[in-house]
Amino acid sequence: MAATGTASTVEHAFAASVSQIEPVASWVSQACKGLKVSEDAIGRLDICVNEVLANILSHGGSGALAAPIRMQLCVEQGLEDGAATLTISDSGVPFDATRCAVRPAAGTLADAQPGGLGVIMLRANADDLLYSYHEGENRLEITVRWQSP
Amino acid sequence: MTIEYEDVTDVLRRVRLSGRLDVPGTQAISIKFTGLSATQAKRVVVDLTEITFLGSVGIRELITNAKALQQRTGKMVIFVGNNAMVAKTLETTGIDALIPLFTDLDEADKGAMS
Repeated sequence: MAATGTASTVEHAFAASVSQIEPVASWVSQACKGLKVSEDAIGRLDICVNEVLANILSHGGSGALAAPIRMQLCVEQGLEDGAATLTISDSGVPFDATRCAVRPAAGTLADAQPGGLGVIMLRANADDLLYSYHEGENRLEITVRWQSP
Repeated sequence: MTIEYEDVTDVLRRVRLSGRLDVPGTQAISIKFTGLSATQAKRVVVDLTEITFLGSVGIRELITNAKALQQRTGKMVIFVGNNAMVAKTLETTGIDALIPLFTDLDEADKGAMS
C-alpha cells in the first residue's frame, strides 16, 4: 500500500434474516463502488459476504438470529493499489472459517455430498481472513486487494 | 430470479436460470428447478449465462438435482457461455469435474446427449 493513501470507513447493522442478504450484499457493493474499489474486488467480496451470511443464518443457532449482525467496511486507497476489509460480527456459535477442515473433493457426481463449499469459496476469494471470538461474538475480517489500472 | 425452459426434443431440455443464485434466489426457484430438471429421465442443459451471482447454496442445488437426474438414468450438463464469473466459481469448487461444463450451446446439447 502506498504511503500517500487514504482510508475510509462505513458501518452497517441489520437483522439476522435471509430477507436481509440481498439488501446487505447490495449495500456492500454500493459502498465499495463509492469508495472506488475495483470491480473484481467487489465481485470477490460479494461472494465472501454471501457465504458468511448464509453460514451464520444456517449454522449460527438461536444466538445468531437473536442479535443484529454488524458490518464495518474499511477501504484503503494507495496510488497504485488498494485494500478493502469487511469485518462481520455476529452472536452465533463460535465458528472459525479460517481453520475448519474442508471435505476432500468428490471424485464422481454419485459420491458428491452437499455442504462445505462456502468455506472453499470464502478462502478462494479473500486475500486475507482473520478470525477472533470475544465475549460471545464471532468477528471475521475479510480483506480483498487490487492493483490500480 | 427467473427460470424458463425449452424442450428441444422429446429427451433434451434446456433450463435457463437468470438473476442471483444466492440463498433467496435459490429458495425462489428450487421447487420448480427440481420439477424441470430431475423428475424425468431427460437430458438437461442448465443455462447459467444470465446468472449474475452464484453462491454455494446455488451450487448445492445443481449437484442435488444432477445426482437425482443421474439416478434416473438422465444427465445434466451446464452451459455458461462467456459468463466468466460463473465458470470461475464452478472451477474453484471443482464442480466442473462432476457436472460437464460448456461454453458453446451446441456442444452442451451434444454433451447432454452423449
